[in-house]
Amino acid sequence: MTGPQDFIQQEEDFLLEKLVMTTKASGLIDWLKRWGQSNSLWTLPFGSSCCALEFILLGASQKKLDDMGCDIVRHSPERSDLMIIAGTITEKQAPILKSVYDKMLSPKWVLAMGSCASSGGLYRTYSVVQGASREVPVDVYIPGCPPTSDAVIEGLKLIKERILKGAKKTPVIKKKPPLNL
Amino acid sequence: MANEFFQKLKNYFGNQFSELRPHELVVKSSLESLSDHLKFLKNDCQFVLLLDICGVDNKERDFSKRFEVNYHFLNLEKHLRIRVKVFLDETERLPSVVSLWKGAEWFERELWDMFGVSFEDGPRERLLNHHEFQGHPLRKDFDIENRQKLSTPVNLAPESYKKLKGPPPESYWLNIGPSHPITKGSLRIMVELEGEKIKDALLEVGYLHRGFEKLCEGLKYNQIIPHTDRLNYCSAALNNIGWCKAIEDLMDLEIPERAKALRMVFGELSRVVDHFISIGSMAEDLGAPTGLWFFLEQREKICRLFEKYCGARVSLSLTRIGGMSQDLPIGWANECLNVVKSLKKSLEDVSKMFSQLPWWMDKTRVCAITAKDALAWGFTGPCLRACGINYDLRKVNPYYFYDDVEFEIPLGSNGDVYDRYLVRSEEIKQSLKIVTQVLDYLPPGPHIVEDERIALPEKSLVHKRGEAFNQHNDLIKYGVRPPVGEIYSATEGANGELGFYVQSIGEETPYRVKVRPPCFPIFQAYPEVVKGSSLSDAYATLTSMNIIPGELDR
Amino acid sequence: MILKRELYQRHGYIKGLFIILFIHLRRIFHYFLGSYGPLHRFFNEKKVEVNEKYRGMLALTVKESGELQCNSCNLCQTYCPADCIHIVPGKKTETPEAFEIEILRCVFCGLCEEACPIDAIRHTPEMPRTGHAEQDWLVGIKELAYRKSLNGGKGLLSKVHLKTKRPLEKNFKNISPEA
Repeated sequence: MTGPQDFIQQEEDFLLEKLVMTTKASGLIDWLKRWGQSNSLWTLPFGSSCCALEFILLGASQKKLDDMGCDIVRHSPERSDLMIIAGTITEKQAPILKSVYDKMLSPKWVLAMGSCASSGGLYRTYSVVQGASREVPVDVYIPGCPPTSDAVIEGLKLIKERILKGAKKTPVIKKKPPLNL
Repeated sequence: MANEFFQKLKNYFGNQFSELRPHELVVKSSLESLSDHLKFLKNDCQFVLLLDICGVDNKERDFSKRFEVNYHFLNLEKHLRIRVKVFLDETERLPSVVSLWKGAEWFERELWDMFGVSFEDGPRERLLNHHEFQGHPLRKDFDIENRQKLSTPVNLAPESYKKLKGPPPESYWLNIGPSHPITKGSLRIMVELEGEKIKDALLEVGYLHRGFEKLCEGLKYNQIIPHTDRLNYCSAALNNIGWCKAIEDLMDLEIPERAKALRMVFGELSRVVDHFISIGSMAEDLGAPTGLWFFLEQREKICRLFEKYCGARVSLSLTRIGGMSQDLPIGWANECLNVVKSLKKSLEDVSKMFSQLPWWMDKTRVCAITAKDALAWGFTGPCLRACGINYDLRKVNPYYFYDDVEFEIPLGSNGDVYDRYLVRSEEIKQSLKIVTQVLDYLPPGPHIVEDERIALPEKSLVHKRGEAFNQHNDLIKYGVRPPVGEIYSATEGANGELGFYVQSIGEETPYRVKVRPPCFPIFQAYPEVVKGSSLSDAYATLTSMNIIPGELDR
Repeated sequence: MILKRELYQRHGYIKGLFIILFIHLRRIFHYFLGSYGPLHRFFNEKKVEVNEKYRGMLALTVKESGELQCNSCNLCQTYCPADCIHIVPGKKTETPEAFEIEILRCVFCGLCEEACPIDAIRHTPEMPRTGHAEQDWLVGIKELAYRKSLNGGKGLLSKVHLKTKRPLEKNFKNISPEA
């Protein structure tokens, strides 16, 4: 109960190789670039509701983020690599999310934290966007309501693996296909 | 004394006046005489505080007119609430009450936004939905999944803002937009600056409007409890208690004594967590981030206690209709008393780190508000008590065992930011006092009422597949059914009076649910409070008001 | 109670400086003495303290024979506030053909565990796992009941022993609208 089990570890290696399009590092400079990017991520917390509280708690206990190298939290998009979406995204807020994402300089990655940011969560209503992936391309999802600090650390580790293996971006999902039942 | 007052109301209103419950009066009015009735209530009967304006769409019931508007007012001296009902059609117009109560403007904008009710003195703008939204969501013929995308990007100086003051180049507009560390991601303030001084401010809310009230019309009463957790997410237990108390009062149900005591304990612990977060974020925004880390460490101790009881730290869902979801585990009460002792010790340090120190006082003795203005806008809670008015629902109209425990209500004198900080830090100590008193004398007994139509039977009996199995299945499939009626019930939340207005038609889902958020009128008064001060004072005022967007926008 | 008058008196800068220094030095002293807990707690962060009651990832329980305990009564599907459980009942037996949960929508509120009358679905203290965006986020029976962390792949044993395959009680009592 202290982290992903062997079964899940194998499945994620399988995913990274087969499902996610990755490129191999060619040469020392390419490898150095990826190693540097993965070990010094500057984060931009885009929080609007309850999950933002749990993220602040993680930031307050500096030791956990220090180990990951992600402890610099800047509220400015021009100076950050990783955007953490924590909280519900509404139709009024969606253009702002898109414009903040566009201002970030590439290469950039996105982490969706909590059930509201991943898929709309409890709220199937007229004013909630059903998942941030309809506006910006998301890399890693963290389920939970709100997720614990340990779950967020696991998510950050996954982002690091993606950077090291050179994963390519998925396109923005416009409409999810219906469930086959 | 109360009889004379009731006699006066009966003489004026005649048959239209009735007393629904103690402390809740109802008056049926008509469109033509509405203004006269409201003037009489304000000037002669001292119903000074406007609590709420709530609209209802009666399309699915066979009434002659489609819309119904309920005004709720409060008399502070006699602790009475009155509801004024008005029925109107789609083509008729409602008179505006902004000249009598300043805080009615946003309530009227919300009526237009949600129902399409128009007013006599001109059109209103939308409050919670975006400006390209078509339709009125809370009408019964509006589909809940009718999403409409906002196509134009954010406009920094829209036309409606330009029409108000400020000849250029002496003054200019500054946008403190929604994605800002001070506004916590969901509020927008447009400030008109002349040099360094603020001349005026305009607010925009609705960035976290999730449609809670429309969702409730399709869910059963017990399924709404996880949704109320997320209204004021800092103090989740107080919202659960407010909702369950409203439904229990509608059914005239008496819950067991142990459930009452447990609800008090969890409510006060939640209030302490909310004040920790509020003072902590105030410290961080004013330049002392170690204060935030200190308070979060203390909050961690209480969150672990919650986890040992119900399994979650933030979204608790502690209560069920009729009592609590489970009983206390063994050893919890002792642990709780130890935590309270360690909190009391560390709070002495805190009060010395902030109170009376020159750098804190220089930043926070600003932006005072008078008691008369606070009542005109509709303030309740710590912001009203910082102005000097002694009104707390736990003392004035005590519920559960609040009249058996000893505690005091701290009052400020000036109504500025420093007073709000002092009132909150003193309330933490009083809440911890209540928790120790209740845990010393915890009454024995069941933790939920033993009625088969309201509460689920015990799991061990259900597993044996007897009579309890049938009751369990029935209750989950068909739900709790309160009698036909309506109620406005209020409890003391962490920010002020948290009210729930519920209309039920005897089925398993409610017909209309409205939440009266305590920070709605407080944020509405922000432009007037901040006039004439500098930008850093405006930041300090915003954090001291403790605006929580989940509650403001619902 | 009106707040004390001395709370409104402003200290001087030097006095304030000494007050804060004294408070912080006292905290450092107590930290090394161990009043805030054993010292190794701050350095050895590898152990994650997991509470037994934590409402974590969902699990379906199994009978002694290894089959699923669930009998497709759909009570958890009706009670879920987020509408994230989808059940396809089996044609010949009671056990469902497909049991899918949209784990990204689930809020881990505990209402499905409360609704189940035969202890077929439970919350385990394990946290739900994070993952890449490209995978399929519909969690099926294989992961819910037979993942490795539950008894090495065999599944959690249910507390309720269903001896005979009896159909559900069909005659529900009617509740009148006036409670």
